[in-house]
Amino acid sequence: MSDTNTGGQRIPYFKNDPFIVLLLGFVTCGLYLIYWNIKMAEVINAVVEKQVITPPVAIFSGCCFPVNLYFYYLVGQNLEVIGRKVGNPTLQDQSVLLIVLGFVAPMVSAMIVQGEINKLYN
Amino acid sequence: MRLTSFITESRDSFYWPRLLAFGLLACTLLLPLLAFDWVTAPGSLVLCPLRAVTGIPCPSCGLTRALAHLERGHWAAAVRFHPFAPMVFLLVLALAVMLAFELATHRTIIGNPLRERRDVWLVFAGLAVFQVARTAIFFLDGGWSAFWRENLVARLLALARTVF
Repeated sequence: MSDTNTGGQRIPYFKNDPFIVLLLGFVTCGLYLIYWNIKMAEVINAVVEKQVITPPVAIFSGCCFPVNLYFYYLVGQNLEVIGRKVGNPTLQDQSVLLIVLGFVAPMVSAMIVQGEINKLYN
Repeated sequence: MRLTSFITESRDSFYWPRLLAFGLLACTLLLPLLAFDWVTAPGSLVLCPLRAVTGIPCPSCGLTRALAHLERGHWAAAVRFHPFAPMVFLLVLALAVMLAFELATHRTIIGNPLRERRDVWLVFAGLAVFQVARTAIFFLDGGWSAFWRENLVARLLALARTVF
C-alpha cells in the first residue's frame, strides 16, 4: 500500500471496507473509531491542503458526542471540496446527512465517509 | 436561512462554524445540568450506540452522568462515573469561553496544541490504555452479568423469547 499523490500533496493511504469500519468499531468498543477519526482527519487535511480538522477535534470526537457531530459537520462539508480536487463529481456535500446520522448511529456516518473516501484511491 | 443551507454553505464563514461549535459545547455543559434527574435515573436509556450493541462501556460512557453530578457538586460520584470528568468539564468550559471571545472579537485565539503527529498518537495511546483498563475493571467488577444482559444479541434473544 502506498500513499496517493493528488495535486502535489501526498495523501495518506486509508482505504477500508466500510463494513470493516463498523465491525472494528464494535469489536474494539469504539477505540478503532477514534483511530479512524484521526486517520480520516489526516486524509481530508492532506487533500484539502489545509488543516480543516485539527487533531484535538479528531481525537475528542471519538469521546464526546457533540464534538463527534462537529467532526461530521467538517467532514461532510469538505467531501465536496475533495470531489472537486480529485475531479470526482460524485463526491457531494453530505454534512446534513452525516450530522443527522451522527445523532443516532455515528458508525453509519463513518461507513458513508469511508465509502466516499475510498473513491479517492480508485 | 434554512438549517440545511446554514450547514452546507457555512464552510468559509468565520462565524457559523464557531457558533455551531459554541452551541454544541454549551449543550455539553447545560444538558446534563438541566436534565439531571433524567440523566442520572437508574436504568435510564443507554444513549451510546456502542454500549447498546456490545454491552461494554466505550471510552466516553458515563461522561454525561459524570458531568451532571459534577455540575451539582457531587465530586465523588462524578469521578466514579468517569475519571476524566473534571478535566473534560474544564476543557469544555475553557473552549466555550475562548470561542465566545473569538466570536465577539473576530480574532482567532484557539490554537492547535497537538502540532506534532507523535503527540496525537501519544494521546491516542493514552486513550487506548484507559479503555483497556476500564474494560478490564468493568469485567472484574462483575460486569459479565451486565454484558450478557445488555448486548444486542442477548436483547434480541430475550425479545424472541417474549414473542414466541
